[in-house]
Amino acid sequence: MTALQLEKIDKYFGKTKAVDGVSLEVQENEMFFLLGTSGCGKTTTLRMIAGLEQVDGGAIRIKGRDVTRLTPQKRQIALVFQNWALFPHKTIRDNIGFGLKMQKQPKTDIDAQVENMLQVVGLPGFEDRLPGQLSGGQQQRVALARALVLNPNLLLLDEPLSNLDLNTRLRMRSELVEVHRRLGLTTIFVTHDQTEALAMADRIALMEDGKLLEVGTPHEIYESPHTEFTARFIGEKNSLQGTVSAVSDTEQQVRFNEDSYLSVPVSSKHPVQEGDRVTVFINAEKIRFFKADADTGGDNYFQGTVENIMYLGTSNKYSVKLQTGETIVHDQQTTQDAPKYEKGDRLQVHLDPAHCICIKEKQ
Amino acid sequence: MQASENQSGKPSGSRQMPIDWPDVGFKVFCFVILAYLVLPVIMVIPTAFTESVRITFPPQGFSLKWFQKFFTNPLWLNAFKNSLIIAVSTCVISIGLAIPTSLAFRKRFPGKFTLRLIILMPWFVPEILIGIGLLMFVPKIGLYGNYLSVIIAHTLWGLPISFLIISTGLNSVDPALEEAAQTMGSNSLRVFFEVTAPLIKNALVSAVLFCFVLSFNEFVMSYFLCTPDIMTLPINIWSMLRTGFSPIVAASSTVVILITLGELVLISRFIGFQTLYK
Repeated sequence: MTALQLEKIDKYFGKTKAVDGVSLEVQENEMFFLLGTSGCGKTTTLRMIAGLEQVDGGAIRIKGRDVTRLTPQKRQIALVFQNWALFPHKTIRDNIGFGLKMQKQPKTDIDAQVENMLQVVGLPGFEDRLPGQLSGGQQQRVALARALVLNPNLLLLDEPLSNLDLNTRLRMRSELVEVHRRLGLTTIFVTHDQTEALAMADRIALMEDGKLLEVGTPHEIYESPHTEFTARFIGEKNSLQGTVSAVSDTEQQVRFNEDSYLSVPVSSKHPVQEGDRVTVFINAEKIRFFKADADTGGDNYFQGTVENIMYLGTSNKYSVKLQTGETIVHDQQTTQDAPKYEKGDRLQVHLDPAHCICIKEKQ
Repeated sequence: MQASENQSGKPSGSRQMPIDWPDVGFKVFCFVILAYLVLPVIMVIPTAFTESVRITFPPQGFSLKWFQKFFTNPLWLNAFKNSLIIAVSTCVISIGLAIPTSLAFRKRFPGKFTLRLIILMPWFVPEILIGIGLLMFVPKIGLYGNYLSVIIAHTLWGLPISFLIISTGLNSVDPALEEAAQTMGSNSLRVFFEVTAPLIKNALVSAVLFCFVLSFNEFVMSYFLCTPDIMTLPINIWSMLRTGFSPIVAASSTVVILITLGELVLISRFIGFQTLYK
C-alpha cells in the first residue's frame, strides 16, 4: 500500500521555484530518504508533507487520503526537527506526552505511554528532567520518542543527526534503523549526508534545484546512477572525458586521445552514439593498480605516475597522473597484502569496464 | 603589582597598591553624576516625614501624620484609586492588543512597514500634541469625563512599548517549537498558551510592568482629559501644589516613587534590562 504520494508538487518562494513538480510514492514501512545539497528543496518538500508549508501546485496523499489543504495538526504525522525542537520549559514527560495531551487522553494513560516510550529509546527514569539537562544524543532520543508515541501515519525526520558529534551520530544511525525495523513505521528522512542515506535507506530520492532527479535503492544509486549529477554527487568518482569512437552490440569505445581508449559495456540506461562527447565515471575504490612492468595486456590499462598519497586510516588515497594527462583518485584499503607504492612510482592502472558508467554530456 | 613588590623588596604583608588617580577620579565623577540624577527624586522622601505644616528642607522632627492624612483624605484616596484603575485597565488593553499584533508582525503582509510606523508613532510624537488632539476628539465620541478617555490615551503609549517588548521576546522563540506543537495536534490558540506564552513570560511580565508605570505616572495627556471625577494622582499632586506646598504632597509623591521603584525592581528581577536593549 502506498503510504505517501506526492503528485507534481510545486513551491515558490517569491519568484524562485524551490520545489519543481516533485512526484514520488513511498511504500508502507519504507525508510525513504530525500537526499541533496542544501537549498535543493528537500526540507521544503518535507515541510509541505508535514503541512508547515502550503503547496503552490499538485497534491499530497497520505495513506490514500488527500491532505493537501489540511493543517499540520490534522495530518497525523510526526516531525523530528533538525534541532529537535524540544520545549525547553517542559519536562521530558510533558514533552513526550504533549501530543497525547492534545488528544485529551487521561493523565494516567499518558504517563504510562511516556514511560514505555522512554524504555523504547533507552532513557528510562528521565521523566522529570528538562531538555537543557540532556546531552545532544539524549535530546535526539527524546525528540524521537515524542514523535513515535503518537503512532503517526508518517514519521518525518529533518536532518535529525546532523547536530550530533560523529560517534553519537554513528550510534544513533543504527539505533534509528533498529527502532524503524521494530516498529515498522513509514519514515521520510531528509539529509545532505550521502553516507547516512546509503547506510540507512530502503530507497533514496535524489534532489537538485527543486527537482527530483532519480529514485533508487542505495545500491542502484551508488553503482549505476542515472544522471551525471548523481554520479558526481554520490561516492567519490573519477571522471574522464572522451569521445565515443566505436559502438558495437555489446561494447563501446571511448577515446581520450590518439592512442588511449576505454572499452565500456553498452548500457541501456545510457545509450550513446558514435561521436558523442561522454564522461566516464568510475568509483575511486573500484580502480586497481598493477606494477608498471606487470604483463597485463588487454584493454583499459593505463600507464601512470603516483603524484600524491593521503593516509586516511582505513585507506590510502592515491592520486595518479595517467599518460592521458588526467589525474585519477584511488582509495586503497590499508590491508597488509596490498602492494605499497611511493610518490613518483610508475604503475599501471586498470579501469574495470564493469564498473565504468558512461554518460553522455549535456549539450 | 608583582613588579613593584619585587623592586621594593618588602615582605608581602606590608605591600601597598599604588593609587590609580585617573581611575579614582573617574569613579568620583560617576558618583557625582549619579547623585545629580537621583537626588532630586529622593530629596522629596524625607520631607514627607516632617512634623511642620509646610514643606521644608531639611525636615523638622519625624512623623507619619502626612501619610495618615494621605490615606484618609477622600480626595487623595480617590485620585489614588483612579490612578490604579486606569493603570490596570491600560495594562490589560495594551497587552491584549500587543500580543496578537506582535504575533502578526512575525509574518509578511502588505502594509507591514506603514502599520508599524502607525503603532509606534504616539511614542515619538510630543505628548502635548496628542493631548490637544485628544481634547478635540474625546468629547466628539462622548467620552469626556469618562475613565475610558484616559485609558485610551495611555494605551497610545502602552501599546507601542508592549509591542516592542513582546516582539523582542518573540524574536528569541525558535519557530520550530511552535511548528512542533502544531504537528502534534495543537491549534494556534493552544500553541500560544502551551509554548509561545511560557517562552516569552519575561517579556509579557515586563510589558505589563512598563505599561503600569507609564500609565500610573503619566501627566500631560491626563491633564488634558481629567475632570474631578477621574482625577489621577499626578494631576492631584499638581493641583495641590498650586494651592500650597503641603507635606501631604510630599507624602503622595513618596507613595508614587515607592510604587515606581518597586516596579523597577520587579522588572530587573524578571528580565534584567538587557533584554530591552537587544
